[in-house]
Order: sequence, then structure tokens, then C-alpha cells
Amino acid sequence: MEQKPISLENEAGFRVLFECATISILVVNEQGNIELVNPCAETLFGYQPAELIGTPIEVLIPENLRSRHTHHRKDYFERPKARPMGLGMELYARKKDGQIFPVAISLGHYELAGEKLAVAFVSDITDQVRAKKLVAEREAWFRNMADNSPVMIWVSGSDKNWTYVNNTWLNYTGRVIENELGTGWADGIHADDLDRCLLIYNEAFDARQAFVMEYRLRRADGQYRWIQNVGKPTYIDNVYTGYIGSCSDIHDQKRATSELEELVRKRTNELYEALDREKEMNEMKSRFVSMASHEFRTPLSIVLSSTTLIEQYGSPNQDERIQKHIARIKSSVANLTTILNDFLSLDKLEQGKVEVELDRITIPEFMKEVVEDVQTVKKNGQLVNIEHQGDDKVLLDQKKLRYILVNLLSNSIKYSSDEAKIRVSSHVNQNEILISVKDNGIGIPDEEQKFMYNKFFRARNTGNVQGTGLGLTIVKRYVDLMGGDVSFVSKVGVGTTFNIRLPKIAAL
Amino acid sequence: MKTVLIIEDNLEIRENTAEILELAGFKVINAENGKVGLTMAERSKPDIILCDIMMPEVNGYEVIRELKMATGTGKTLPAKFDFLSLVARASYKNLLFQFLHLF
Repeated sequence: MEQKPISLENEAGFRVLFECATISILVVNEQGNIELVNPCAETLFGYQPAELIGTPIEVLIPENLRSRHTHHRKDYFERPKARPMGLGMELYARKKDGQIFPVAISLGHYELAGEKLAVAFVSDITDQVRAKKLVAEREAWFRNMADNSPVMIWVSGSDKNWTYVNNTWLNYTGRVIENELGTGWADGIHADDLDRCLLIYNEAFDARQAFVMEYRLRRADGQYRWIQNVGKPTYIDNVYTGYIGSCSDIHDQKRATSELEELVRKRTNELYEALDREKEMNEMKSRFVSMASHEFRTPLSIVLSSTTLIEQYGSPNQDERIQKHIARIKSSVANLTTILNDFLSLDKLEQGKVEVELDRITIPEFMKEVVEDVQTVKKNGQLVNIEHQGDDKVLLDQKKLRYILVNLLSNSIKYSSDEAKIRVSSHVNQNEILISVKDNGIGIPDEEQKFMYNKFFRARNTGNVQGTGLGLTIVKRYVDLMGGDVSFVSKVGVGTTFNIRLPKIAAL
Repeated sequence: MKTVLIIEDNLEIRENTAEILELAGFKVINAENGKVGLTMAERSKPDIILCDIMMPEVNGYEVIRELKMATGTGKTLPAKFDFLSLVARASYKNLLFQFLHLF
């Protein structure tokens, strides 16, 4: 709608506009004196009402700028024109108390009764200037921080295009900022990583989710190095503005990690190989033990049977020395057989191939047989007493019990002197079968008692008495298999008592 | 006189066993493998069969299975015979000891 100029020329209307305007209005004549000044201007510049009327406009201008202003003013009156003042320049005004402050000024002009008059509209822009300065400071602060950061920083708009990268980034890639902004940052990504990176980047942006991606980036020296890029969406007043992200060079770290992984892999493989070798050795050992015990048996049987035949074919009153040597051959073969049997038994136990087989046995008879078995190893005058209490018939693994008792009895015989007495007592009660073998032999040293069931262990005081150190190991394992326990009480020089406790198994 | 059949592939063991048994007053027949052993058992009807377990071709377990089947079908085998396995199980000495105690 067209404005009516009439209304402004109307004195009353103009007055209201002039008096109530929140912008400072000054009317200056060609001589540079103030003709009119509105209350807003008086307040702004700190003058009393009407105090400024007739004074040169330059009183409102900082001293050092006054002469220049006089010059500009004269120019303006020659070519008056409505325009903002001092375009592109920072303008300052002066209050009555001498305070200088920034202003924005626009100029207008008119003629009244042949006199040229200029109108200046002045607004105090102190706050805007301060705010602008603050923003500039903030920005400088951020840039300073970003540029001095050891990590590469980037900022993108909501359109996925980068709007900023810091100096650290530029120093790393050796490129100028113009090449990196927009989508330029992706130029340096290794061809093999590019598709994957763009997929992660685009998907994260579309979902506005944080992302982490690792890829190779070309450094200024041309080397492609692994970097990790972490991006997060940014919001200002809950309005999504884009992303901010940072990248760090993880090349050395990654290499160290992969070297470590490689080392771990290598070591693990070595370990597996060692384990395989160990397994192989064990299998070989097992095969050897079982082969040896079987293959050794045949020649041993032949030696033993041939010795028996030599003995039979000899004359009744043959040389005592021949008798002695025949006895030696027989006892050596018996020793060797025992050792082989122990090796085989232990090997079977260790392979978990041993099972309990129950037999119905009559204890007193069984004991007699066992004592009979050890008859040949007994020393001069040694005596084995048997006593039994409770039920006679029990269900037990005969072979294992025989082994256990023969072994304990042989030990008592071996480690006792001539004429020694050995007592085997058995007791069958409601739940258990208790068997003990007691001797007055050399005894087991206190400090070695805990090792007695260890494989190949032999006490120091066994001297030159023969043995493999496997007997008690097997005894213990057999007793364990049968669900019982074995213990002993022993004192050096006094003797040893072994106690076996086996659970009684109800006959079916 | 009791007759013993020895089925054993090892010559020395077979001969030594036979000699010991002959000295102890037994009549001994020898077989060098399970197959021959089965034929001999049928032909000679021994009172006792002493048999090795680990033998090539027909082993000790197969021998005893065959023998049991044969007695079941009423073939001309000893009505009752004792069967002892040799070598692999108990020690040789023990076995002979037990064996000789059977009589």
C-alpha cells in the first residue's frame, strides 16, 4: 500500500514518531550544527533535553575522528543521498562523559525553506559488537584447540559434506583444506577400504548414529597408514546439524597387535606340536611297554621251562654249584617277570584300561594261596602267620587282591631279616573287609612316607634290595579302583604295618 | 594215563611244555596252531587242552568257541575236558603249578 507523505508533514504525527522512536534521530544542518535531536538520542549520548541543539554534530564523535567527519559531512551535503554511513567501516560515537561506543548509522536528507538538512539515525550496537566478538573469540579458541590437537578433527554438515578439518589433518595428508572439504576427504582412502568406509559412513549418517571405522589413509609421504575414524552426530538446540569426528593413526598399534597375535599363534602352534610329540612319545612308550612285556614273556618262559627241565634231567646227587646257579636263573627270571608285570599293569592303569572283576573268594583259603605264592622269596627262618575273623566268603576282585597282598607280603619279606615274623590278619565285618600286613622290618623314614605311592620312588634305606618302585603305586591304584583305601604306620628300625580297607560288596 | 593236547605256535614253548608234562607222566599231543589243534582234539579226544591265546589265524578264543560248539552238537569230542589258556594271562610258572595241581 502506498504511504501518504502528507502524514509525515503533519507536525503532530511527525512529533510522535520523532519523540517515541527507539532509535536515536539527529537532524543536522549544512553547517554541521544539530537542529533537532530526539529523546532517545539525548539519553544515548547522555545529554539533557535540548542541550545539544545548536552544537556541532562533531561533539558526538570521538576527538581523533572529528576532522575526518567534518570532511565527510561536507561531501555528503554536496551529494546527499539516503544511505548507511561508513559502509564496511566500524563507526564509533562519543557520549557526553567521553565514553566511546560502536554505532550503526544511516543517513537521510531533506530541504526546508531552502536549507539543506541531514537526518542521522543512530543505533548503539555495543551488544552486537560484543556478541560478534565473543563468537569470533570462541571460534578462534576452537580452531586453536582443534589445530593443536594431536588427533585429526573434522566437521560435517547434515548433508554429509565436510565443512571443516583441522590443521593436524592437513599436515597428515599434506593437502590444502579446499581438497579435503565436501567429499574430498575420501580421496585419500585406500581403494580396498573405500567402499566399506562409505557404506559405514552413509549408513551411520542416515540413521544418525555414532560410528567407528578403521581404514588406510594416504599420508603426506604417500604411505597408506591405518587410522581409526570416530564420528558422532551433533545437535544445536535439539536440531541436527551434522557430525563431528576425530581420527587417530593406529598403524603402529595395529601392527604391534597383529605382530603379537602372530606371535601368540606361532607359540600356540609350537605348543600343539610339542603336545602332539608328547602324545606320540606316550603312545610309543605304551606300545613299547606292551610289546616288551609280551615279547619278553616268550623267551622268559623258555628260559624258565628249560631251567626246570635241566633240573629234572640232572642226576639226584649232582653238583651243588649247578643247583645254586639253577636257583639263581629261576629267581632272576621271576624278578624280571614281576618287573614286566608291574610295567604292564601300570601302563594299563594309566590308560584307564583296568576294570574291577568280582570273584567269589574264601578268605582263609585265598590267604593260604597268597602265602604259598611268596614261599620261594622267603628268607631263612621267616614265618608268615595268618589269622582271620568274621565271614569267610566275600565278593572281591581276586586278581587285584592277590597282587596287593603278594606285593605287601613280598615287601615285608624283603625288608625284614632272617627269622622275622610277619603277620597277616583279615577281618570281615558288616560293611568292610580289613586286611593288615605287619612286619618288624627296617621301616620307612618319616620324611619319605608321603612319597611311598609315587611312581618309581624308593626310600633311602632300601639299600641294595631290588625293586622298581612301582609295587605300592599299583597297590594304591588297585585299592582306589576297588573303592577302598590303603594306609600304613611305620617307624624306622621298628617295623611297618599296612592296612587295607575295602568295602564289602553284597552278593547278588 | 591222561592225555594233554598242547596248542601253541612257538616251537620251544611247545616242546618244553610237552617235556615237563611227559616227565610228570602225561601223554602229550602237540598242535602248532589252532586249526591243527581242533582236528587233533576231535581225533584224539584229550582229557586236557592247553592252548595259547595269541596265535596267528585261529586264536585261543576261537579254538575254545569251536570246541564248545562241537560238544554242543554231540560231535565226537571228549564229553568233559579242561581247557587252560597258556602264556598271555598268568605267569607261566603259576600256570604250570595250577595245572599240575589239577590232578
